[in-house]
Amino acid sequence: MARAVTPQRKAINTIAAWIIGLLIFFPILWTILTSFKTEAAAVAFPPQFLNFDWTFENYTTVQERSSYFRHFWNSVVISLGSTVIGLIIAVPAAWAMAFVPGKQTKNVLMWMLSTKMLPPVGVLIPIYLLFRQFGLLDTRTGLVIVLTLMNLPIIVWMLYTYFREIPVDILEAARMDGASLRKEIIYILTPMAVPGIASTLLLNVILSWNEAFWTLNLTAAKAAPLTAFIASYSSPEGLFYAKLSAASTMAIAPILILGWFSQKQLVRGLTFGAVK
Amino acid sequence: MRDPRSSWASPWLSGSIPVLVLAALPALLFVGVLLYFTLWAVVFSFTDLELFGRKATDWSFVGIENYERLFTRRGFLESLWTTLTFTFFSAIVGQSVLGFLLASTLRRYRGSMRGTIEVCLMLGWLLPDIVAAFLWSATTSKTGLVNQVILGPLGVEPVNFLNDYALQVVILANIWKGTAWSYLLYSAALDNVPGEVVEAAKVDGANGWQRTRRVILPIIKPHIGTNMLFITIWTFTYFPLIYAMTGGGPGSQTETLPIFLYQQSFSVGKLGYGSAISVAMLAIVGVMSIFYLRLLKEPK
Repeated sequence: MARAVTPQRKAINTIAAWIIGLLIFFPILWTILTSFKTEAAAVAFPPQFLNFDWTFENYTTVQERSSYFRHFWNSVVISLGSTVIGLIIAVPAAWAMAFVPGKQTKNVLMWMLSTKMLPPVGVLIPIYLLFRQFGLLDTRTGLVIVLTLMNLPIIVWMLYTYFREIPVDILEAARMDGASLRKEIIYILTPMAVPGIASTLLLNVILSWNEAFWTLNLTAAKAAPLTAFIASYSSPEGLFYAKLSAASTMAIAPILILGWFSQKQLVRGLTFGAVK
Repeated sequence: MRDPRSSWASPWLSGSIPVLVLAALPALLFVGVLLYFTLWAVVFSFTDLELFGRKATDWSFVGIENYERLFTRRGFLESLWTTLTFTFFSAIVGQSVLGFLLASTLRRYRGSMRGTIEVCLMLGWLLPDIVAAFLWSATTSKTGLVNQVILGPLGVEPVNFLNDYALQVVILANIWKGTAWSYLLYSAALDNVPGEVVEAAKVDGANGWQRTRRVILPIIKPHIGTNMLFITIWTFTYFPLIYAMTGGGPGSQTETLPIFLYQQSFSVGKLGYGSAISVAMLAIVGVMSIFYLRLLKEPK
């Protein structure tokens, strides 16, 4: 769809788009750079862009002072745990809805997705009380349960949009050739469903990794994942820019790397399959 | 487009229906649990339950006292107003309009530039809220980037933006964080606008603005509705970013409803009152959804 755009206009648009892109990216870049500065250099005036003494001391300090790796491990366990359990529950459901839709399937799906519209604060109080009673506060188990609950609607919805793209004719052909339900699942459905499951997994790991509301409210020190760990760094003793930058960089590095390699799948996942 | 699976599937698959119903059950149960918790919040909202002390165990029903308090005590209405301002400017004005402008500008370009900017946008989306909050606090603090790089060289005294312009800064931060979603959705919507229709309008002498207003916008109206529905509700109930940036302060300048609820419930300890706030929020969100869904349905 070629539209005649004058060269000047195109240049202006291009420049504007680049400026917006850079503006958006700059704070992230600045944080990564700051993480390699000393605290003094981090607030120096005029600001030092690349011409400072690079140091790794922030990273070692952060690790020593608050055992980064423990929080990292918490993040891994919580995000992977909740995603895997969510998938185990959601795959059969999405499969059923995609392949044998009833009159109410669309409504059920919308109803599930609409629970995502509920403000999480609305259920915080009951869940908090329940967790207190069962000793689940500040445990990884508790967080895995909550995040599974919260992300399940999205997981089901995403899988459903992927499963629907699997041609139903193939299943029928397999049935005609005498395949049992079990064989159908193992030899036909699974291979075709793997890409969809993989992107769902990826998106949910990222969502759970970033989750802050529940992790802040339901953990203290023991089970705190990286997000809560960063929050604890920023509050009481004033801002330590360089150290906080190092902590942030370490917390976002896995996400940035994952995100970079899986852009296409993420776009689709983030928009609930609205973008193919 | 007819979907072959729109009604009951073929007889070849219907043999396994009981199995399939069974398969869907756990997921439905799980989502049901979520609604069950919501019901509890409704029940609590009629009690004087507290977080600590005697009333943590020995609570009683107090009728609609908590709801009366929403309107008679200071806090709720002010907070509602802050939330609406925050939502209107950051979601509707910021994310949606900026997302649309970016989408309609960038769609004329292919290749590396579009890709690069998309990645930049996505990064904001991908960052944990807490990290985004830190980025923005650091950027706008007295020794932060804006003061050092822009205001300092101009000779302006350093400004502590988070103190003096707290609401504006959180709104900006949320625009930064959330524009990607609107952009992606609008991008996809614009790709679906048939080129011939736009060309035809152009041949008929419609200028750029008219083409957008009279041709493109009506075509992508459903997408606009969907996008608005999601971002309005998300922003309305958004907690971590503001909480980590300002904690609702200074004073109560950035105290949106989720933060107000959180403080009343867990700092003050009035869980009954907090539950009433959450039920009120649910009601507001419900009204918004109905409004947007009406908007979506109108012309088919």
